[in-house]
Amino acid sequence: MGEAVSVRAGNSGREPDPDLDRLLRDAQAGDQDAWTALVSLYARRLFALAKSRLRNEDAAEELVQSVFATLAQSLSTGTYDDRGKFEAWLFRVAMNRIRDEIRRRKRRGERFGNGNAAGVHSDAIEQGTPALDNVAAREGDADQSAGLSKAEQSKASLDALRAALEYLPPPDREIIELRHHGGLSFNQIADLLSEPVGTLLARHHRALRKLRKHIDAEGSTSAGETNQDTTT
Amino acid sequence: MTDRNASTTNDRDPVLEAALDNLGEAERASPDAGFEARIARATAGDLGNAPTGTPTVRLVHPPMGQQRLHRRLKIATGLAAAAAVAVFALITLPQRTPSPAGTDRALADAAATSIDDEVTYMLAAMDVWDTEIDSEVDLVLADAVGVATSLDAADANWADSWISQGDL
Repeated sequence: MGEAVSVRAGNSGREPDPDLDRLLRDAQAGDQDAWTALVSLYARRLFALAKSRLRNEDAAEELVQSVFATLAQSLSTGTYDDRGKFEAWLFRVAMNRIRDEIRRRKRRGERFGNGNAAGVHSDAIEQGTPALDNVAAREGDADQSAGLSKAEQSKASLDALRAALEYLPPPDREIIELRHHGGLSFNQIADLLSEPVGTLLARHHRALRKLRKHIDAEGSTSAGETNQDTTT
Repeated sequence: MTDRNASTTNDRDPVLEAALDNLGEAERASPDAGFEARIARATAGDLGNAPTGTPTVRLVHPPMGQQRLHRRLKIATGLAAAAAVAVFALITLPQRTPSPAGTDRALADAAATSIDDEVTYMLAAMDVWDTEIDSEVDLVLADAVGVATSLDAADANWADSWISQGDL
């Protein structure tokens, strides 16, 4: 998958990461390898965050590019001074760009399409998980009975989860995406949003409950529709 | 991938959290293999100390914030230009739509024009009159000089004759 570090591993976001500091210093000095390493560490996490909200891969890539352009400019001009909380800084820039882009789209009356759901990497789909399959099973046993492959079921589950996220209020969705798409720890999200960790835990829990409620409601609705279809 | 010990709530939903972790993983895996290299190349030029000779690709589009700023500046410039043209037109162009205020203004303009003409005519007449008066005065003065000369001569003759008679 190309991720140089495991998401949310190790550093809680409270302690400065010496390796990260060295990468930043080297990149600031013009070391292209250090810059490429920095991009490799965070580009996909930022992309996942942007894609989930913008529902468009091209727009997400453009946004990631603009975030790294800002980082490069900040490093070269010496305006970046948030050492020790780099991830919070980087994701804050990304979140602001995402919010700006959403506001811009709303002003222009653009609709948020279902994006490029087909662009999901086939390896990730084929991996599947019991959890995802579980969600799929709750949402529609009819799909399985219709003879869909496991990959198709997993893709359907991911699409259903993406669609369910659309129904969350923006603050709830934001914390879900920062946590599960951006791979940030709760400490890092607390730094990013300037909120106590306890508050964020409660918000995350409430967001999950809302999501579960919506998925269950959708599952029962689709199941009911399927039963009606079969009886008619 | 989810930090299982991070949340303190009792009624957690590990199934849903795992599903969300997998969704995030799928989204992170969705770009092609050259994604990072593409982003790194495109943004390396923004590092001030980038080594010379390194091929860098500039942003195809400027950052979104810059695009919005440029668009807003263009809109503001356009609005300012339109307002300036409108004010200029109000000040300089004649009123085409008749209205009570417009009629008054037209009458005032006409009156001002006729007064100007009258003044011009008056000044011209005064010029002519001044010239004629000056000529008449010159003639009168010339006559006066002649009369004075004649009087002087008559006086002299009368005095001479009176002296010669020895009356003094």
